[in-house]
Amino acid sequence: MEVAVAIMGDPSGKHWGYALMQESGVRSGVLYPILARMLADGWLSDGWEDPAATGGRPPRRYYELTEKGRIELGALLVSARSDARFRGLNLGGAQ
Amino acid sequence: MTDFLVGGSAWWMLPATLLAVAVIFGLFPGVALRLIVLLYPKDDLRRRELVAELYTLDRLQRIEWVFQQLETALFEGLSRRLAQRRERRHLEQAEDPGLQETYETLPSRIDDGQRPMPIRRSERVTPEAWEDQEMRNALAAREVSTIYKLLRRKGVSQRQIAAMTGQSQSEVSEILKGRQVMAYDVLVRIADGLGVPRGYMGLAYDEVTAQRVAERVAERSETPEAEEPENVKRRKFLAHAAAVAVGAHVLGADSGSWVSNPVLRPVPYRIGMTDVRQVEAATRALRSLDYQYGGGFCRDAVVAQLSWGEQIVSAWGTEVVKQRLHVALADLQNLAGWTSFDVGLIDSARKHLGRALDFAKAGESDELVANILYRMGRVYLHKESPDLALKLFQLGEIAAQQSGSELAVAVICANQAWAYAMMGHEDQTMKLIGRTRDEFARANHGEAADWVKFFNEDDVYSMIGTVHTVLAQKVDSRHTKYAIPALTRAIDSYGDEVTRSRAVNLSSLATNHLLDGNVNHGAKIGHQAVDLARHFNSCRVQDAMMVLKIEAGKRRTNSDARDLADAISQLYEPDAS
Repeated sequence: MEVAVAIMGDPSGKHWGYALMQESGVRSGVLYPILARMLADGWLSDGWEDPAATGGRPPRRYYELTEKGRIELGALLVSARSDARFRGLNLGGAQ
Repeated sequence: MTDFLVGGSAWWMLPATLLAVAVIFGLFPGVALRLIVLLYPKDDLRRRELVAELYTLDRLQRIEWVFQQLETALFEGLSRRLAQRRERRHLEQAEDPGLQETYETLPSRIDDGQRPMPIRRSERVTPEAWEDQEMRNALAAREVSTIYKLLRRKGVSQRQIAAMTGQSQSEVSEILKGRQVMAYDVLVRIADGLGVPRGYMGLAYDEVTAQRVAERVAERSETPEAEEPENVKRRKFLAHAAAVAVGAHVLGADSGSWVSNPVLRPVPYRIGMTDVRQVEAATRALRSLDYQYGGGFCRDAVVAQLSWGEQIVSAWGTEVVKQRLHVALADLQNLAGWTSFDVGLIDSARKHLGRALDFAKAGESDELVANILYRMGRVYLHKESPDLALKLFQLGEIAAQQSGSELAVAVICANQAWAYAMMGHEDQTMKLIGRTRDEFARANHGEAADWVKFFNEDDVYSMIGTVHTVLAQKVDSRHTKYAIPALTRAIDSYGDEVTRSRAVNLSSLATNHLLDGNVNHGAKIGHQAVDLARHFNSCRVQDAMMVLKIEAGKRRTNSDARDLADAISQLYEPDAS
């Protein structure tokens, strides 16, 4: 859920593993399997940085929301707003 | 992680090796991380991905990152690696030309960069996995949670289980945590998905189901001319029952025409207690379904289960095992007969009950013999032959007394009372009601066998109510004043799990109110009964509703009564109206 919030924080941008971990506060052991599942379900697409632009360090892998992912995650967030379990999260919207 | 750095003083107490590791992690996180990612499978993208992330971070973050990855890699990377190795083994086996199997390759994106995972359509879990004793026990008891745990122990992942059974991973995880699976169709799906031989879980075999269908068709196509006259059948049946109850009737002797011996296929293995427990567990599960939904819902499953049970009778086993198997099968046949009766297949009911009696005798269970005779009697009560029913109950009482179960005697006395009531013998009825109460009071309920345990105080009241309802109709309408309180009490205390009894009692209660002249109230209760009966495919409910319909029909001048009669007609003969 926290991951969903973090990704939807910038629906059209590229997301990096470590940054997502920081934003969502989820450990990488939890985060990566979630990302993998979202990839498998077609909610995310991935890619690698252009090596020419990284200045010597290895290219990182990034994740982007797909159209489907935007719809699914959007729906998830809306339904989560009315769910008591997630009241502590900043989900935006009415509350 | 921060404890690791801050709690410096404690550090010196730790072994030197740990310190060295920490230093390496701290000073050369890149080296450490590269070592860690080696835990992931060779072509896993994480190997590159995680290292790349490292170089965008500052020093402290790097150390944290490395530690997190160590944790993740140990759990995730390692387990994936093992999974891959298993898959490879499977593949090698499958390349054996003797095995013709289809492979299905999941979309390669299933897990970022992981090798496409082949899933076998058949034999997804090796068949030997089901033969292990612990597994057989879990299957027999239908403890899906234990089954999954054992699979996990054999290295099958939650995701694989989920893919095979068509469940979501979270469902699988909940089951692993102990959630029970009861629904028959879900059990079937799990068994089929995993490739468990259905019989091991006490579920119907497909070919057996086919056999059952054939049997049923044969039943329907029996032409009236070819049938023995009903009275001949009854006489033979009673003779058989008497021979079993009193004499030295043994299994395999001529059981009469209603016991058609199913074709026994050779069974290749010896049977043990596990197989018996399997039959027992299946019977228990199906019986609880029967209580809940009425016989129509589970008769097919019972009959299918039965064919399987009959097959293992011919297998080799110790005397103790055999005896218990006979009792288990007697109980299953008994249930088959009872559910057949419930859906109106009277001949089939007779057939199963006859066979049940043979098994019960072979298993030397007097208590079960009593129970079966009681059920046979009930079949005849339904067929409006109280005299024959009475004889069966009397035979049953002998067996019940031999078994030493007062509760069984109580059940049978109550039913004798019913039979007498149907014959219009008021005095005999009241005498037997009295005996029912006495025997019930004396009974040791804790020690009673499963199938008489059902008879509790509510059932005593229900029977008293039923019997007085019959007397009120046949002899004297003043009996309603005994019937109404008894039925009300029974209805109030029946829980949801015995909806059928509730429906029957509501219907009888409505009948009483009609007989009492309290037509509007009776009609109201009658409609409640109709609403409940809608969910049932049950002969016993229908019997009670028909009585109510007759009484309502006599009062057609009252619009409520007329509505009720019409509603009942609608329910059972929608074409006629």
